[in-house]
Amino acid sequence: MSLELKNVNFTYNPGTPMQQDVLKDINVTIEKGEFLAIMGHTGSGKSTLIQHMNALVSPTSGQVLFDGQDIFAQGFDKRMLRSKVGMVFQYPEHQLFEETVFEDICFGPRNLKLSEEEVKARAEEAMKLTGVPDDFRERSPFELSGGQKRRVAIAGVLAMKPEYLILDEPTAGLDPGGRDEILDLLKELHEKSGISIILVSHSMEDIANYAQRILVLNAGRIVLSGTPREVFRHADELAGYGLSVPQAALIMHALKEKGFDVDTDANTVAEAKASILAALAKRGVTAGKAGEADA
Amino acid sequence: MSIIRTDKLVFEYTRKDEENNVTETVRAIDGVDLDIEKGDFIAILGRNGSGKSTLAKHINALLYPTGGTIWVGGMDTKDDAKLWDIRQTAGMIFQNPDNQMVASVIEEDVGFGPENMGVPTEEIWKRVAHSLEAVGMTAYAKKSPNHLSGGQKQRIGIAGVLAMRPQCIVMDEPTAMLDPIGRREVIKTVHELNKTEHITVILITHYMEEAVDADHVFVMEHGQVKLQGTPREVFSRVDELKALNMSVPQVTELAYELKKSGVDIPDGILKIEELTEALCHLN
Repeated sequence: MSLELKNVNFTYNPGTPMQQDVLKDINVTIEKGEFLAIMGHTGSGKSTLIQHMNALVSPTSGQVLFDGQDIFAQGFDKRMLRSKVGMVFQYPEHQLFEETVFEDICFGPRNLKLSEEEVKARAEEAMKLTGVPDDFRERSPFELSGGQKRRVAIAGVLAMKPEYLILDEPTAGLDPGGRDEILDLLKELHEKSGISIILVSHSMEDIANYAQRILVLNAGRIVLSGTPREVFRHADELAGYGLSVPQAALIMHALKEKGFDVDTDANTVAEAKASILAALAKRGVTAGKAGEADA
Repeated sequence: MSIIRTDKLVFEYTRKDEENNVTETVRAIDGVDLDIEKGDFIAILGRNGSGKSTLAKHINALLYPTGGTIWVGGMDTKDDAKLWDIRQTAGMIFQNPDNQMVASVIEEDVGFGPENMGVPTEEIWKRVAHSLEAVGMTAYAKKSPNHLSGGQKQRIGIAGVLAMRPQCIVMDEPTAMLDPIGRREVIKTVHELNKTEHITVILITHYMEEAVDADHVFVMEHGQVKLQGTPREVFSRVDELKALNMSVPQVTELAYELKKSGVDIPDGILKIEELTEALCHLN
């Protein structure tokens, strides 16, 4: 079970003076159950890349395979694909349009031509999964706060029971608490329901905290790929792509320079804390107290 | 001298049902007292729905208080005769730069504000040139805004406000839609304007790193100012901020966590150098 892009190239207006290469030689396999983050600065091709994954854009050359089948082959059921590969666009709350929250969540499954019973059952389940409170059911989606609207929008996609959930900057414009709520929700969906998450994000801190694997795009090419520890090791290279590393990693590097024996691959506050406490203990600084509190 | 002052500012709005009966009264701003000095760099934080944007809209008279008073450059915003003077005193930048572009050539876009104010043509061009220089976009004067990055568009928006010679710029999440480079560009530009042109800046943001270099930070909740002080004072209150749906920069959180584990370092660390310095001194 996988979603695979093979030698994918995408060019706007090929053969004209306006020709523009957007994606070049993209080869990537996303296994079912993965939590993948895609990063790259504006215009690096992130959005075009994810639009290939559920057949919104077709490659100029190359193939996109869903469980080994070419999604652009004649007779391939794209409707099925789009229910299996769900897409949550940026500012998804702008796409809410029904009169009530519940009806809005029902819209996706209803389009799949499921029985009304099944539609409702799925909407109920999606509301539970995303933590949309029961008393929101009859409210207008337009009365909700930003974070709540976003939950409802995600519920609408989940009601189609996707195996892969692609999210384009799902936390843009939310306050830090709302940001954590949405990311924790994704983590829970990933862990409990086994849904693959493909997260496009500009926040290095969020990526370090949640993703298992990172793809870095620059000028349409995949330039780095690996675990957060592997990718964030390349601070200088990332800076060249207009990206950065989590602040925690910068702190570790600064401490290393000052002679502290710390783990420079630490990318999160928790990892950094553990490593600094260990390094301090080695130096004999507040070892007892730090050790106690840590244990 | 204060540029913006509020006295028990209140803003209420009502929801009505189909028969026009009032079903709910919401107090979006609930007794805010502010006194912002000319030349200050102010950051306003607070969760979605805490009243930040409503407050910002009072500063250039897009909304009027339903209780209390707000003075902008000494003018009461309820005085309709002063409306244009007030809007000229306090310029506003919104989240989405695309919504603020009006012309197809950048220099014309920047000149739109002063043109509307009836500034003589010669003077408009002078202001456009100066404003573009101030935001580092002179090279793009004759180009179309279409091909700019988000950060560049937002800088053009700022140049457009600058061309109206405001004393104060209010920015409502100007970096929310930008990538990290764009964010850095815009914040750097605003700090430069604050330093070199002495423009008062009021920055509303969800990015804590952007508030670290402000002179003063306000944190809003339920329409009230819940916390305020220098960034160091405010960010040292990690637990209170988290309870308000806010966060702190990673370095501040790490320092706070280390301190909790018994490491003897000062409160309210905001910069990486401060943390490394403090840890080195433990020897």
